[in-house]
Amino acid sequence: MEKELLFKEISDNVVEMEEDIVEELCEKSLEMGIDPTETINKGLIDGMDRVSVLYEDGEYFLPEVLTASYALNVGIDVLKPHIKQEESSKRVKVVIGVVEGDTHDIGKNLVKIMSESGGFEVYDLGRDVPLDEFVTVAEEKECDFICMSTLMTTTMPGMRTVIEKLNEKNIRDKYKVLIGGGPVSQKFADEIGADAYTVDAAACVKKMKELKGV
Amino acid sequence: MIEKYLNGLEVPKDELTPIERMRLFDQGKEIDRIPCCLDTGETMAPLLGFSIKDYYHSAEKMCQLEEYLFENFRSDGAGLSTTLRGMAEAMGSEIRYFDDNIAQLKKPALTLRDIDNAKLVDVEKDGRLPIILEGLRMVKKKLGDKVSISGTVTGPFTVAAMVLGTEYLMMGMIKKPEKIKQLMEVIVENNNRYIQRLLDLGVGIGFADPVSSTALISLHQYQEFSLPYFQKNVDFIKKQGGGCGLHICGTSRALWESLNDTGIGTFGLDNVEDLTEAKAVLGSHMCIQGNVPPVEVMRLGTPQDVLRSARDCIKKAHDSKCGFVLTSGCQMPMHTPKENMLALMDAARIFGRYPLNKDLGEE
Repeated sequence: MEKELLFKEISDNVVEMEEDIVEELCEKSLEMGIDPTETINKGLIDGMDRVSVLYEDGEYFLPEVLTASYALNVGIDVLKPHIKQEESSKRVKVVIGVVEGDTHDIGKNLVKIMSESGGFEVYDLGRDVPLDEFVTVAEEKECDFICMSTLMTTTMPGMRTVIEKLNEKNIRDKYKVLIGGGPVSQKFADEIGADAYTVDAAACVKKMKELKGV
Repeated sequence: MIEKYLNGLEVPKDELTPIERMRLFDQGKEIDRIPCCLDTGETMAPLLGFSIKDYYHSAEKMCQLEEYLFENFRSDGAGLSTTLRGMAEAMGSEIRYFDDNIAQLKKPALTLRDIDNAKLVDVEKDGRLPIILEGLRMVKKKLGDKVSISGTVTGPFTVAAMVLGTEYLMMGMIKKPEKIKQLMEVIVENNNRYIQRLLDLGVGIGFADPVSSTALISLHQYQEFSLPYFQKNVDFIKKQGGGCGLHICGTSRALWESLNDTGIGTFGLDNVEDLTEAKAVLGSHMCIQGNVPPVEVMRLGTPQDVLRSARDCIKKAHDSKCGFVLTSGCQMPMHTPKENMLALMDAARIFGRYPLNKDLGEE
């Protein structure tokens, strides 16, 4: 089978959320000696990018995005061990997490999925993340963006604390800080000095691209 | 005028007690002002200095809080909720409790592989259900002659999210639709068992179903995985002569036409949706409730902000055919100022007083 055709089939099966077929096709790509990085970008990520578009257009909803993302990750698990060298560090890097005290992470996961398919390198700290960790990982991985999410009013002040920590260390300007989540608003973002609030995952990725000029 | 609130503006006194008002309202008769209900619950426990964890586990504390809220605010409704996790906990999900925050799902009861193990609950024994039922019994006894009491039940689809974990419910709908439907049937039965106790107690019934929001699922998915099971709960109530309401947090507009045929009596919309549109689509089928923003206005705004927002709500929905109840767009958060809660009640007294002032007090 031709390489390009295989990429298209992988991409199609991510869109169709068929993780078993994605797995088979990714194994096949290795047998054919195709560079796994190319398969990830032109097959898996291409498929996920199409999923993001379908989501933005209201054709796909959360169930489809999550299931497609699961298929994507099955493919990545097949290919990743065969990538010889570290990815180039040129990609825009994002550290993301749900702030301390909160475990509601669906919105955050959606941003992660859509950022990855948008070409960003994402460091996912998970949920209930100690506030220092946002700063530590951003510094360590030389990130461009710090993205924070919460669904509860009681944990919103944690976002302010992270920004204060950046200020204390005189590193606030190194990062763009984006925040989101049910109770969060542009007004709150202005109050705590975040760079942006976005209403959903698609808007967040769009905003990050805009801020980075990519 | 709004600027004079708390600074010389006279708030018209109520002429009816909350229970008189709601009885007449339910019969479609004339009342003194637009009804107003405070959407309270566990987030108000700090008002009495309770740890939220203690509140969740004590029928006495639940009842004390309802008494306190009624005495201080005289909302047109009182009651207790199973909370979004109460039924799931009874079905085996692990819940993490905090002294100073609302509870969160710690470990779902089931995975997509063991849905066959979904358990039927014993409402007298499982989880916190017996505590909440006891609390409701006490509230009914203490306040039942002063205000209408209701119990909030979690919508079956949201129960499923708390039993499986929301992400697994979402993926299960795609990968194992029949298994999800099998689980939904168990949840319908569990909800009915609980609902039967509420009917026996003679309290009203409301459903909260945030996971059915179109922020998560499509109309098609709602109609396949959520609505048919919700309908079974509604039918169970109606067959016994009861009525019920529904609140969906977040976006829900695409679902409204489907709700018109369910037979529910009330729909409470989130503040991200518009009351004018709700009046047009739902208004001739049911009472609508809403929708002052709970965070921006109730928690973070001033009493004047509350009055302004409430006035907008009243302007939009006061003439809705089957009635309008002023409330917040969702449960009010912890640390919502008491002044703002009073302002919401006062907004109904100032702007909702019949006959309504045509310009609704606009300057």
